[in-house]
Amino acid sequence: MVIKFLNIFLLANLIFAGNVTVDVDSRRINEGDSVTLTIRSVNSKNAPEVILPNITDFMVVSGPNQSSSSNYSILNGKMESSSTYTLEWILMPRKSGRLRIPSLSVKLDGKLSQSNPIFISVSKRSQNSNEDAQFYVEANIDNTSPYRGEQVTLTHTLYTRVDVTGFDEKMPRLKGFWVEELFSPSKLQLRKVQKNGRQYHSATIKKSALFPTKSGKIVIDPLIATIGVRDRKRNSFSVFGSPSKQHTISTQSISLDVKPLPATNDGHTSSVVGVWNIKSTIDRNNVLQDEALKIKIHLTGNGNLKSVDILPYEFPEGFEVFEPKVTIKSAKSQIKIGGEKVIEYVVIPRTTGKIILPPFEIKYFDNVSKKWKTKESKPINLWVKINEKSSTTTVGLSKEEVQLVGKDIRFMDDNVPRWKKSNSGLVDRNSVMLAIVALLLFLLPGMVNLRQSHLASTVGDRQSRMALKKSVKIIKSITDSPENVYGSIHQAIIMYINYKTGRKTVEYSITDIIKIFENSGVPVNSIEDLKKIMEHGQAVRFAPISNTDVQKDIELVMVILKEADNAWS
Amino acid sequence: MRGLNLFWFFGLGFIFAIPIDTLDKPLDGLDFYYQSGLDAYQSGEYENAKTAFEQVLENNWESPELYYNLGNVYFRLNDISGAVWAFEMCLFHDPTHEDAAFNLKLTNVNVKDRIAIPEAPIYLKLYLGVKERYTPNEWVKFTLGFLILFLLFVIIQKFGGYSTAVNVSENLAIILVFISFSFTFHSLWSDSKITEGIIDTYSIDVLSEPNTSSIVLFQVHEGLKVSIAQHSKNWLEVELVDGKRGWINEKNIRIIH
Repeated sequence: MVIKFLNIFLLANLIFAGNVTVDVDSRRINEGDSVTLTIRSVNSKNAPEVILPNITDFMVVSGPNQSSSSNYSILNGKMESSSTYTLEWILMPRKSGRLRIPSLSVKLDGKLSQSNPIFISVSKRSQNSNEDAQFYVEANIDNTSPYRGEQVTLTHTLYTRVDVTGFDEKMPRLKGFWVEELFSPSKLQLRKVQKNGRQYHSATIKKSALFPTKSGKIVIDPLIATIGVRDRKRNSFSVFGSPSKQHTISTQSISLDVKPLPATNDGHTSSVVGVWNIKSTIDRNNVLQDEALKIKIHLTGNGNLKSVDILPYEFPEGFEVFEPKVTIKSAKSQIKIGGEKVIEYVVIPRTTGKIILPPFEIKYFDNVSKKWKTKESKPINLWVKINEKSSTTTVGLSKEEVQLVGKDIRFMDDNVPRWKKSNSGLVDRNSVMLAIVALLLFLLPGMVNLRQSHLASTVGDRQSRMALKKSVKIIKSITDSPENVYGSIHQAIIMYINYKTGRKTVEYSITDIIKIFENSGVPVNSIEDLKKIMEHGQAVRFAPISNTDVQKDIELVMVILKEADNAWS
Repeated sequence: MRGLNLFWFFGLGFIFAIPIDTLDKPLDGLDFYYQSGLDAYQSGEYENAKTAFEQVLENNWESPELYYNLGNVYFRLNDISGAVWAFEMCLFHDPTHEDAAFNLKLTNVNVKDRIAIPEAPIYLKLYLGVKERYTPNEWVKFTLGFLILFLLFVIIQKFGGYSTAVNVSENLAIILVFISFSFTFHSLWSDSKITEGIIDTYSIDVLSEPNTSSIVLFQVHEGLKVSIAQHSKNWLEVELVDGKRGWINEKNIRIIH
């Protein structure tokens, strides 16, 4: 009876505005697990509009993820349809206890409604809760009360007893630390481990070196990860095996109590922590006055390479000192950060004589012996000789020029010399050749046009010159019967006339041919002979002509055409 | 169309009007001098190397490699102005000689006079960077190369019929012709009109007039690069990069040409 009453009460809380529901997937979770807040509308015209209020007890990990679906059914011959809009947020609890999602204002199809607040019970993360979990992520720190500037190592590890199909983590913002990544695998490398009496597969997600930049309480926020795991409930529709399900999980937050560095005895302040060594080098000890030289200070050891520095240093008078160049060569292991920091000074001695540069010093807090330590380099002896060319008019070297100080010139060029006569022209022969090619190409289209128009205008003359050659060729090739011989002679004469006159007439009568020859100034006797030959051509159809006569006519017609060609005007 | 013809006329005319390199071949003994200079340099005999390289120059032959190696020899002999001059000459003939550019920067560290000039606008730096990357002769070749390309496309269009690809290529080629022609023109103009030189005396007074009795305006030191504004008898009016002008005797300067 009580349960029934509770169910009715719960329903009344969730369904508040017609077809809109506001719900979460679970009301009882462990710290580090997420809840999904869902707003669903059924049969509405539009998707519900919601502005999420400030949820102080939860962190919004993702959302809103919007989806919609439609459903059609035919029942007793009547078709029914329904549509659903869904908005989802993934929320991660910030703390344990009875947490509250405040009431939400939802606007649906122009109507504004208010939901009831939702309460979720979040159990504190404990060994027991992790024992039961199929998968979880854990954050570990090697020292919860370090000194300011001392390295602490933060390790995030995944433990799982199920198949992991995907993993994506979101690192927290580590405020109050200088962070250096020690280990970050591109692919999770799982190995078997025993944890809380159970066998798990575990993988290091990330390992970071943190250097607290302030003292006091600093909280490391949880890492939030989305993990895909194989769903054990086999989907009968899936042909690819069990589908994967996404879960959002997080680590616990870690609180650090950072101790301030103890006061020094000598009054020098320093924020350097770790174990360090110092050494100085100079590129040469004998220099000329006004010649630039390089002094390098090497700081090697373990600790925050960025913050490590020498104690304030005063160069002796008479030295022009340029801004130092700092190079860091980091040497990372999976546990410690360290390496070498080189501070490189370019200095120009303006005075002469023997100069002793006092040692460079480093003061650091040794986190092993928990004591302040001071180390120094050896002093540098320098002999500066007088430079007769010395001048004091230099304005100073530029940054780029300072980099060149102490370097040597590059070696000789032994390539085959590209000889050129001194004071010769600015342009070489190859350029002239290119210019000539360009000129020719420039003139080419014009020349082609000119040639084409010339050919077009002289086509008559060329054909005229070809007339005799073509006709004689036809006549010479005659080997047929006498009837055909005279036909070919006739054709040759027609071709001759056409070539000479530029006409394209297919047939001429004997009278026409004679007239054309007469008009062209061909000798009268030749015309007479031609007339006779053509008459033989007509006669041969009725009375046979001997081969000898035919041969004579062939030779004669060639002579006539040659005479005609000479006389043609 | 008429405008285009005028462009061809003046463009080709301009290129044909440029002085042309002669067809002479190097003397047989030239390689001997040069090689002996290289050998002497390698064995650290810098004075001998200098003599050998200068012998080649006296025979009126030059090459970027010769100037580069001579610059190295001058540097080794602590002749700063000679080294600056030789590296500048090398870059004058081959602006892409990276080793010469590096050695010149290194040598300039030793030049006493350091004149701070304001940073040039980015577009100007870009333009000059492109222009000074190539010699005038190389710019002429680029222009002619693009011109030939353009003409080939014109011919293809004329005899092969219209094609969009060829038309686009033709337009691109003519744009490149105009761009490289601008660089060619500027490059040739600045090479023929602007003369520069390197101060060759350790320290020299720059005077207000071309005579020794005039006022001393300022002092310059060996290795400083100056522009030569004008010439009067054996006096040169020099201009520094910061705009200061004055007269010095021509024997105190080595011309870059």
